[in-house]
Amino acid sequence: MTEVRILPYSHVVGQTDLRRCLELAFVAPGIGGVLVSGERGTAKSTTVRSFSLMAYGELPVTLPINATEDRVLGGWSIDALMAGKTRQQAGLLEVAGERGLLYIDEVNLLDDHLVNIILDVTSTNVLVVHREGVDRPTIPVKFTLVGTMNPEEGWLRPQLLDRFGLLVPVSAETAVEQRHKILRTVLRFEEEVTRPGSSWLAEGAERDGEIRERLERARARVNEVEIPDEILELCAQISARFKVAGHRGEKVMALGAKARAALEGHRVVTPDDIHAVAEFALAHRLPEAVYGESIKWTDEDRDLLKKIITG
Amino acid sequence: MAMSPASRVRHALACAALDPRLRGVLLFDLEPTLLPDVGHWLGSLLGNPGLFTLGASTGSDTMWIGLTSRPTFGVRPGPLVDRSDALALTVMVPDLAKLSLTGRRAAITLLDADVAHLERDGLSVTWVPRTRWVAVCARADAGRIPPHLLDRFPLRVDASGLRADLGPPPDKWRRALARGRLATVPDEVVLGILDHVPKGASGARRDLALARIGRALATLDGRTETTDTDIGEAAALLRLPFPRGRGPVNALGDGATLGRRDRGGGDRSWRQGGEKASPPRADELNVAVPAPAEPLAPGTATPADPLGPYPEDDSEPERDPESLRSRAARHSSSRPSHGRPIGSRPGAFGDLAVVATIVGAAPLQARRCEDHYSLPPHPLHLIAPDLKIHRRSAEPARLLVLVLDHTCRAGWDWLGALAPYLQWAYTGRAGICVIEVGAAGAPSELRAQRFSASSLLDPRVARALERPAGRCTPLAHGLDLAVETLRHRLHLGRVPADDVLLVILTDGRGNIPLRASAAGELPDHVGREGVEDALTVARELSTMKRIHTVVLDPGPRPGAYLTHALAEACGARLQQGGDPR
Repeated sequence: MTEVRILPYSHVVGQTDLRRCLELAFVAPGIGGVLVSGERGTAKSTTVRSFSLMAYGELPVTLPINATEDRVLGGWSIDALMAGKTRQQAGLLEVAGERGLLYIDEVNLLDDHLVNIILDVTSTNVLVVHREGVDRPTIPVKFTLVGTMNPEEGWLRPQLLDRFGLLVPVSAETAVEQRHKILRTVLRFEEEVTRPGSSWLAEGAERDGEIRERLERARARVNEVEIPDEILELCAQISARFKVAGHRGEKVMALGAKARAALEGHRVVTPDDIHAVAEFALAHRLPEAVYGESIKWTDEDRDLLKKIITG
Repeated sequence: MAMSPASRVRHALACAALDPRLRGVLLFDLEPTLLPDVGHWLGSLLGNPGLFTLGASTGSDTMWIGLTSRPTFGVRPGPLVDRSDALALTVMVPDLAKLSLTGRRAAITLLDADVAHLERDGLSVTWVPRTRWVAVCARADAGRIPPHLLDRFPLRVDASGLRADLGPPPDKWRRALARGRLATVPDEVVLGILDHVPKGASGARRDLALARIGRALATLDGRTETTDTDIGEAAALLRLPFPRGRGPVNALGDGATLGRRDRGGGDRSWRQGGEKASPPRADELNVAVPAPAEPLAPGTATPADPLGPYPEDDSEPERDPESLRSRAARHSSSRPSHGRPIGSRPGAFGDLAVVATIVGAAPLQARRCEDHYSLPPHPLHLIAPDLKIHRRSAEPARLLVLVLDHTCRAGWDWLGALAPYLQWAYTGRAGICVIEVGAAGAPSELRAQRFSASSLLDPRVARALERPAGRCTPLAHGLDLAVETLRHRLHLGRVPADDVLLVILTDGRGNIPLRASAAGELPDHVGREGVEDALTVARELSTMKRIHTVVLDPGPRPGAYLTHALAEACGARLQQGGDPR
């Protein structure tokens, strides 16, 4: 295979919210995943791949929309069968469980039967394979699910939407300065990949290494971060005031805040941490989103959140 | 500079051949019979004469997998999967608007992606896509194609005037391709790129496309550095509007300015590479010329060229909702096999499930051929019962087209009258098309608005039913949109004809003539013209077979004869609003 060259994570321009949410999900895998929803041409996929290369050292396990069930669940190796042997071939879900991240580009275009399989696995953390003579009843599988999508082509089923701990809306950069910076960075990257021993790429790799170390340190200490009772109460209060469906929203909010505190080097979660993650944990769990009307985090929502947090 | 259609297409193809990031070429209004020549021309530049055509019926398996008998019989990656040891292939799409769903999804996956993945039928392949795509699209059809798909094509040129073959690629270009090293783009040139990109363009793809095309043009010209002139020429190739202060050249008035001057003052006409440009047509005179103007803030461009590269920005969406999604199994459109046989067709195994077939047959090979595994590799022993075909989900089978005349609604609970039809749509999981006539707050009160939804549960439907009335009643235009929608849907064969229901809620008082809707200008005097136009369009509806049409009347009022006349004209059943049956 031709070598895949992806822009170093530390050279990605903008996308602050997206990068922050990916980092939170890495530090606290219990968050369950990140859904990235945004306009065309906003570097959603590039950012996710860059993040995976930085954090995991390899491209994410990717479930393409053209996948067939045998590759998602696993089955027999066809090549081995043709040679008269039997050898099982792990499916993408199992491989993602080993590596920690499953990425689905254009997740809203995924066929329904594949969505059902993913829902089964993410809700139980167990993969069950009974097909074509393969019998593997309990394969423990746990991964961070990351999906990118363009909402112009339709939304996700509420059940799948709920499986994503955080939702990040991504919009195109409109500031001229930022657009120039994006152009310069991409063109520079395309030039630098043709230069052996590029110092620009080496600098990116070095900075990626530093980010990875920071994330791993945060991940190692996230369980030591304390969440005071009043913060847990605040999470419940926010969920109630926003009429959030189910309890996953407040759980993710608390976990996200904990991850943020760990990243900031704090030992105790503060209302600021809650304020920073609430939008991403709740926007897709508001009643309007659950009933398929719209997913928005409005100025009124921002004001209400601020009011609840400041008391 | 005068760009002949041949010059535009040649330069676009050469840019695509040079830089795989520009691998999506969209040719507007190309004469379809010329596509193979265009594909071969690009293939010759790439050094791979192989072409692969994607059409309305191309299925997943054809694109993604193939069969091989060496070293043993088995499954191998299909033509859309680039092999690292092979030259890039050219994919041709004769009509992007009619490309199959699987073809559209393949294009979304492969065009503009840094990396692609195939996870099908036992195959797991990751590769860097290099396959070039040349797609043809009628400009009038742009609204039928998802913008998400169109956005993947960075190189879009008008090919409407192309008549003759393209001639051999110049040696200069071949040398540039052989070198393979792209020109650099200095920072000061990057600064000027955004001046050319139309205001409101979303994302960075258009900015990047322009930069990469400019860079490719500089490289093809044999230079190592991209200049502002190259960016200007890239903009002219796409027919982007001119930034303010950089006007078009009057080529007829001054022949000397046909070519453009680069920073060195050299004349760089589009004759480079040995091609002789034909005399400019009137519509070819508007070309962007970089002038020594100060950089401008974005958004100061002049109005878009009607032959510009982004027609989707101005087209009314005519596509099916969520047109890149596979349909869930809903109401089945398949019918049991009735009727006496009248012939035969090749069919059942055109949709062969290769892996299921192989997996089913593999355990039986030793039984069917005792020495199967000890003999040199040879094909599988298959018998008819081994062959399996895919089980596929069904398409939704019903379509409800609602024409809502908001101006007739005063005092009428039309939800009650509509309820049976909405129930029909809900229980049958019908697709919905809503055409609103005379809605308050409409972008143009002289025109009806239309949207499509995958089901009745789309929140836009409820909002449309509750929308207050505006001042005008462009009923003729609303009916015209209904005719267009039905023709489109029936033509594509996506909906069984006997499951289409058109419901028109109106009092028949159209007060906007069709010509006023088309022109967007209110006439001085209307008279009965609005009503007559509505009746004329309604007669077109009556000629469309196998559509059930109902006109819902608001009830007794002066001028009630208008709905009778309308129902008669369109061959509809007339139903009083308070009497749903």
